[in-house]
Amino acid sequence: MKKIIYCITTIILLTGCTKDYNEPGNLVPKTVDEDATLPHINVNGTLLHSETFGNSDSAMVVFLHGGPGADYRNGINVKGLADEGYFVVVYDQRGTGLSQRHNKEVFTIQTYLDDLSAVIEHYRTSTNQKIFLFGHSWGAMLTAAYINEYPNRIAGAIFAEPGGLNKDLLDEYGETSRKLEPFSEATNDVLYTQQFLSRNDHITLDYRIGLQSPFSYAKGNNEGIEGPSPFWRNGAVSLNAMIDISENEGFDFTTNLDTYATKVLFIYGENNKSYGESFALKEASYFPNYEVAQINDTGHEMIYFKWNNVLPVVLPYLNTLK
Amino acid sequence: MKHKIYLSLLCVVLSFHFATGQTYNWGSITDSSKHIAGATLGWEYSAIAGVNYNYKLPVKMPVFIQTGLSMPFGKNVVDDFKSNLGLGGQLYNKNNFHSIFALNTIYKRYANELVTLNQVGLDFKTTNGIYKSRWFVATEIGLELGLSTHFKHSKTYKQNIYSDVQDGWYKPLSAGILNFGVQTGYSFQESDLIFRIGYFKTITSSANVLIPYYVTLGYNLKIK
Repeated sequence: MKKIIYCITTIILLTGCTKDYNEPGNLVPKTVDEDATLPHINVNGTLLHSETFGNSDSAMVVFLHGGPGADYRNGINVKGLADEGYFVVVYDQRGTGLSQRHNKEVFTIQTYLDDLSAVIEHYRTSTNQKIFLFGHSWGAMLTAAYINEYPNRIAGAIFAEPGGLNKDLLDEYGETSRKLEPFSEATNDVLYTQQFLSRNDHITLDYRIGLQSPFSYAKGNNEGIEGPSPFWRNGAVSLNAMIDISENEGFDFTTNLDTYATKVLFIYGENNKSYGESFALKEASYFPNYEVAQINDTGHEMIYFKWNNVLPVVLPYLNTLK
Repeated sequence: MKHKIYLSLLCVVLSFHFATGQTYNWGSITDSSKHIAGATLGWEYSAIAGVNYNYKLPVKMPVFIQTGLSMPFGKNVVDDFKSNLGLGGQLYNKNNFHSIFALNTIYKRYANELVTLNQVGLDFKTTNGIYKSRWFVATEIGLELGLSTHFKHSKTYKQNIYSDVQDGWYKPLSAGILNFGVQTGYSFQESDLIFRIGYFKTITSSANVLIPYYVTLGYNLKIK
């Protein structure tokens, strides 16, 4: 009995000599408001981690990363378009990656659209500079939302496997792409960790959701994801806010797409069993003028794993509209 | 450094003495019930299986030293587990109504390709209900506190996410989870069949765990 009491006392005492979860930079990287040396812009009331590549007077390609809550680190290959004569803009969306954190109530679809407008205006060098959007996954959904709201502002758009342009399509994609198998290692790696880190602070939430990332590329995953790809920080609060909006309010980014006459490009990975040509056509057909192309030998993370297969498809599309 | 080594050794020692919140029919325990060995299957955060062993101390009121181990299902059997060592005893007994209190030290581990977490903590539990020789039904309320967690990140985490991540022990509280539930069981000969069901609620976060329910089936064998 004495030994047990001694052990318990020792554990309690030792917990005083430890690191702090909330110290920036301990578990997840510092954000732009915590480290001013990181490249960033101050727009629409927030600090966004952002970089540009290429001649700022050239036609602008704004890359919108996936998630919600992910960052542009695994999409950085798009900077290759700068070598092809484009001005490439990448940024971590509000609350994600190395961008400034915000509380949940700040996040709305309209806020994300306003941020995108502000990013474009920040980098735009002339009123006749053409603006293209290149969205991946959630970023492609956001691309549709932007065109749906502001069809006259965008000169063309590339959609890399948007997870659903409305709630029904999102549910359809989600059912096939992210199945929880209760006895699998991948599922238990997601669920079992929750009892270890049940704190509510932003850093712990971001860290915990990052630990769950191997679920997406577990062996045999339906999305054909080859393995881990890099990221800085998953923004858990922004993800949870978007999930709540989707579940409680629903969304439909297709209501005005039929007015967008410019041809759009949809690309999908050959190995993504949940997407494929049929789902691409279903989404693309909301636009009056579209092209659908397969990216061979890859899955949902085609931009990171097979950029050399993506570039020959997206470049001719952009060049025809340049 | 000495503290780290000592605590690591303590964790290793504890890992050989386990329990998963043992449940007995206190109404069927006799003076000759010296040992109870048990097995559990169910859902607690994820699909789990567990074993436990309990030794009845030679004191007037029934008090057990509780040990046990549970693990989630999955391909890598030993990478994640939860173990405990503690005491559970009867505080009150009148007209088949029993009040039970248990205090356990917890050591649990979680590992995936990004990190290995080792956590030490405490688990308090009280059960109150009707216990007869053939059956029992009781409520249970518990609180598990993760006092401190050790983080060791993999090369994959450092390469793909954050190269300057800080390994080591992190301060309390890394987790605090309440559980509320009911338990019932049927006893025959030297055996108990036990069913528990309940709900988890985090106290350190407004966001609850993803699947906040638990349900377990258990079997106990009393050995003289």
